[in-house]
Amino acid sequence: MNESAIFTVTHEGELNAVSSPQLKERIQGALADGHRWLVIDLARVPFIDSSGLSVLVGGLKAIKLTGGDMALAALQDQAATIFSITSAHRLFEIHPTVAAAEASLQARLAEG
Amino acid sequence: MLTLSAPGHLRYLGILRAAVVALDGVYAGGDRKPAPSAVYAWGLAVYEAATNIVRHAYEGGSDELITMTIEPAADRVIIRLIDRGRRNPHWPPPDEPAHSGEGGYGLHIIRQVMDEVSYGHDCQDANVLTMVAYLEGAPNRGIHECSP
Repeated sequence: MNESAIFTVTHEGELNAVSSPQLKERIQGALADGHRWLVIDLARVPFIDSSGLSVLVGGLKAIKLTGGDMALAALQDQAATIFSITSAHRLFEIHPTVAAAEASLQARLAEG
Repeated sequence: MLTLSAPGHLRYLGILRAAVVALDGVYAGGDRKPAPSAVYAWGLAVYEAATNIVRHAYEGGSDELITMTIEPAADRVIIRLIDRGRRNPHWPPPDEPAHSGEGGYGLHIIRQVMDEVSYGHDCQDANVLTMVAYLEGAPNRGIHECSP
């Protein structure tokens, strides 16, 4: 049942070397529960460092191996800095809101 | 010159970053004021550099200090991070990030954000990472990386 549902993971606070293991654990937990379509809500994340970016890239790669996908939502301007520096924005589907991200993944799910 | 020291543990590194971000106030009202996005990026570079020190020089964490000096000049800011751990085995940084999901972005970020980056030792054999960022419009802006 989880395979056809979109699951949203929300992170609050800095996504850095200290906190990124928590997000990694939650993404891995969602995958273990059978979720294949994830939205990562970054609305309340003011700072992302390379540890946080690595968790997001690692999560994206893992979920793509299941045939699903992961979208980022509400990425804040300053937190987006690391994406432009590393060109990692090319790897992700990034949407301005969680609703937009969920709608995008839902549309792809409906397409089969 | 400003000097700030913090123990070599990840949980203290936000303090070093906050000090760099506060440079926005130091330059307020000056002839050359860096863009807020530039100051934010300097803070990111310092955070990445300090994380590398904790992970590699201090092998995961140490009560030994990371000392940061900041020299905010009219045309540039010079930031040094000094530690007494192992020499960084990942120098020089790679040209492009690997997008492997296993890290490797840190030194790439530092080099992209700062105009000059060098790594060496001081006379007391401490490791010294020196990062220079020129302010927008400064004559030397655009010169990249000097030799370690």
